[in-house]
Amino acid sequence: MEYVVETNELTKRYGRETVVKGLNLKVRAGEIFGFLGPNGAGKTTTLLMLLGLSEPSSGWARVLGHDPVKEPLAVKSKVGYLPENTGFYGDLTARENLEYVANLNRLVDFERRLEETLTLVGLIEVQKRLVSTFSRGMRQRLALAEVLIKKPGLVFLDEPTLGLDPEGITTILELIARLPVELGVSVILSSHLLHLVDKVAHRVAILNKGRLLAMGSVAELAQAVGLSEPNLEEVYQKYYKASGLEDAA
Amino acid sequence: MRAIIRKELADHFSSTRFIIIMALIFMMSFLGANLASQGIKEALAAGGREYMEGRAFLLLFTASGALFPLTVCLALFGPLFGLVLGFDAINRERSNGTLSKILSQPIYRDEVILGKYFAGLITVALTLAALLILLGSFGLIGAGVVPTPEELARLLVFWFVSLVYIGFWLGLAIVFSIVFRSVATSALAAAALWILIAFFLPVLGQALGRAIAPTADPQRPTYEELAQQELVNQVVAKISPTGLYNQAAGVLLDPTNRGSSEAFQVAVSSRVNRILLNHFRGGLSFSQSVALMAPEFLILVGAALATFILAYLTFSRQEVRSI
Repeated sequence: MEYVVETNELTKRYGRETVVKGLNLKVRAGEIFGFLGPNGAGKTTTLLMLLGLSEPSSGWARVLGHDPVKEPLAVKSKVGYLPENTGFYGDLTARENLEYVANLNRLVDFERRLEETLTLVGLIEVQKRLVSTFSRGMRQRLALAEVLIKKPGLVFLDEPTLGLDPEGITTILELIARLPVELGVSVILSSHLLHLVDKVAHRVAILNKGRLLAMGSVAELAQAVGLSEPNLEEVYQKYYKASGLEDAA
Repeated sequence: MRAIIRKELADHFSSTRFIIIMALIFMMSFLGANLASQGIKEALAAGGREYMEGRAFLLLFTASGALFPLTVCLALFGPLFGLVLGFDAINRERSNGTLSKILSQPIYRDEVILGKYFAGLITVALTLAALLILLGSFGLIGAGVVPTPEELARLLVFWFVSLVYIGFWLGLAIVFSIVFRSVATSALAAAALWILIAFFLPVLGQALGRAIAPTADPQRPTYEELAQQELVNQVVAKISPTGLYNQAAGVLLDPTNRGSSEAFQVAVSSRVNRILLNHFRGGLSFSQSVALMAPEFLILVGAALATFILAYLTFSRQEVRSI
């Protein structure tokens, strides 16, 4: 399968407001795909539609070969989603939180997988501690473990570095960078923090007010707007100005 | 759905509020049963065995001493139990940020609401069963009365009626937890409705009765006036789940209770007639009691189903963006 995500004129309207307008995306297998845009650009709404949690008003999407509207369970069993500001059951331990997610995924004999995942995110030593005692960085790593426990083919990470200190950001970004290489997981990384996405993303899509402004590698996009140095910050600003929507940035 | 039910059950049985409300219900029921068992023992010693034939055991749950009997205790505090189990079922997950996580797992959205509802029902069912068994054992040991098979059958149906009654409040609480984003607002709305239905509606029924059928001479009301007032009272009781439960439970656990129709007959009959009625009537059989309370029970079932369906539909149609 060449593309893990493919959308065609994907549109979402809430009443009279159109929050995603005719989106055409193609995300390749094994890549880290940066999904960029300011708050309210339509990034989370798009992810929810791709996951089958929100129905498109028009257009269609294919995620790992499945239609999220007709086969939401097939999509959700293969796709991990880390929502922005994800929460935990503070009265349960890290392991118990993870076990609950494993049970929701109807995983059987998941003991070894549990150990592997906790080791991967570096929480194996603190697995029996209550999550309420965890730092923000540890919680975010546990969130990543919850996404990975089902061995997904694709993960959607919505602002995974939000509220983290520089050390926490580095740890999370390193983990994200390892996903395609070590686990063969494709990643859609939604963020408005361009310098962070620039460190790990193979290709990016820039959204504003629900519209796709550009899609490609940073080098391709830089070349298209006449920049000699491929720099995501500058590319982003150029596309904004060109679209006439910079007021929203 | 099994994973959700398991998690919810563990949460319910280990929560402080569950322990507090259970302690309250158990304490009041046991005190009531203790007084009732003393009364039963005295009555049996005084030669009242024949009078209490076939209902001595049930008196443990219905006899009113200085405190509430179990039936009244459940009618008043059962709703609180249901509300406590459900008022933050959904909005707590939403504010904790765990709802979007659960929904992104390979489960249907229905499973979340069904799991929470069934976990609440199982908690209620197990707690009620434990309460009835403990009170029954208490009666066996304390008053020395052995239940007849018919009494046990009546208790079993009473358990189910109580489950449906508390299930109604549980469903209502879950609706509030979906509609109100704030846990505090949801708790406040649930408590307000409980107070209104459990405490103000009966008073309203009496006030309405007096307003619609005023007595010409308050010192000597006529039987017709009393009958009309009782009729209004009954109509109001029929729209109150607590009133319906009281009527159904009363008929089930007291074979001499003839339900709402009896109250009406008593109100219209003369004093002499009432004495004769009480003297000559015998107890109803189990099937007669069940048939008599069936209308109230069916309305309760309908109300419980309606709250559950409302919760189900409200949650299913909620846009995920707002979750």
